[in-house]
Amino acid sequence: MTNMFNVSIANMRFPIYSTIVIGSIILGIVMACIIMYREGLKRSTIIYTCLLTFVCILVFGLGLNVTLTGNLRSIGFTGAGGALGLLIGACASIFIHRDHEEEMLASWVVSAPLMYGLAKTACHVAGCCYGIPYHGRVEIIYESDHISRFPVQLTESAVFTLIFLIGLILLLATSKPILTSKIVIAMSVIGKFSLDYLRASHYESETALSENQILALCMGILALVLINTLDRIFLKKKGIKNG
Amino acid sequence: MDKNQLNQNIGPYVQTVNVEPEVPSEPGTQNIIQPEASAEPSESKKLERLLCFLSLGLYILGPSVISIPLYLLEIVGVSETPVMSVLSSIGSALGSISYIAAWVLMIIARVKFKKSVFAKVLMWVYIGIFAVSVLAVIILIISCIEFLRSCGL
Repeated sequence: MTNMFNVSIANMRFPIYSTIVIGSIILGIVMACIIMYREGLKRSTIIYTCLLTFVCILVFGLGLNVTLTGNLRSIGFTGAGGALGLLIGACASIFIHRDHEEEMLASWVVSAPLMYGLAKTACHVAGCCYGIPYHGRVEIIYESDHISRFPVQLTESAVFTLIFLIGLILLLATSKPILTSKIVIAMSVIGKFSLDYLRASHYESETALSENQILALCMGILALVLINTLDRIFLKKKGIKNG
Repeated sequence: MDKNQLNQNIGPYVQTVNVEPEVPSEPGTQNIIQPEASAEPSESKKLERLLCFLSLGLYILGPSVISIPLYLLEIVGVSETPVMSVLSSIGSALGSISYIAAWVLMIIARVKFKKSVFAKVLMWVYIGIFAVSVLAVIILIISCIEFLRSCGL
């Protein structure tokens, strides 16, 4: 089979990675702001929610690895930590402001796949989280090892951007924020879980489930339980309002 | 005619008439009412200060008391022991939670007491330190990479 897109990636400098990651987080936050503004949240609520969630994403994104491994040298940004930070920031903001709670939660949950998807392009450029050895129409060769690999980071980018678009359309078309949040979380967990089989780290470890997959499952279950609990609180509140 | 009877006779026009409240004219009663009126703002000010000081305490004490000794022990080289590993996990989790709790309390103070100068100052200090920290981490990573490159690693 002829290689139509045989791309060779040079060893890029690391700052590009951190710049793309922070840029993708900021872009996701801007998207969440636009959705919240469209859903009718107050301007002050949007500003404080963004501030708190941004801080939570970076703090938990950097700290989760240290907490799980118990090694201070393993400090580094992880997607699962970022997702946990986003959930904590959004939930704390819901209880602080009590302003369009369901819409606020949905706007953050819908924007999360966009952040993750864009951040994966940084992995592609930096040469980390690379795919399994592969010879096909689109293969990636890094200068560090000269092995043809499956472009799993770009595939993750495309899949998660698609999940974001589906979530956005569902949110705008159906006006069911809680249902949309659950669908987006389910799609994200399935996407992350299945695409991990195409990663070299999973292929080389030869285990049935990788750490990434276990983390993705745990995060998905935690997020769904949290959303269900919040949903019950919102329903209770609406019941009190309606008498 | 009694004042209440007069109001009933006037009907809807009573809304436009500015009727003075019946305040007892004894001089002693005024002294009782005045502290009650000023009690509410002082209570809210107390709550505002409590929130701000609690936030500041968590911001400074949480991460520094929990994390800095752990980092110092890491530098000394005690990190290989299992006890140190558990301590690192707990320290990292508690440090992160107290840091976020400080931010949450500051935002509650900002939302509840919009004119509070203390909360406003705290907010800008936190934002400033956070921005500088993010920049410092990026610069540290760049310098480490450059250092490793210059060593030929």
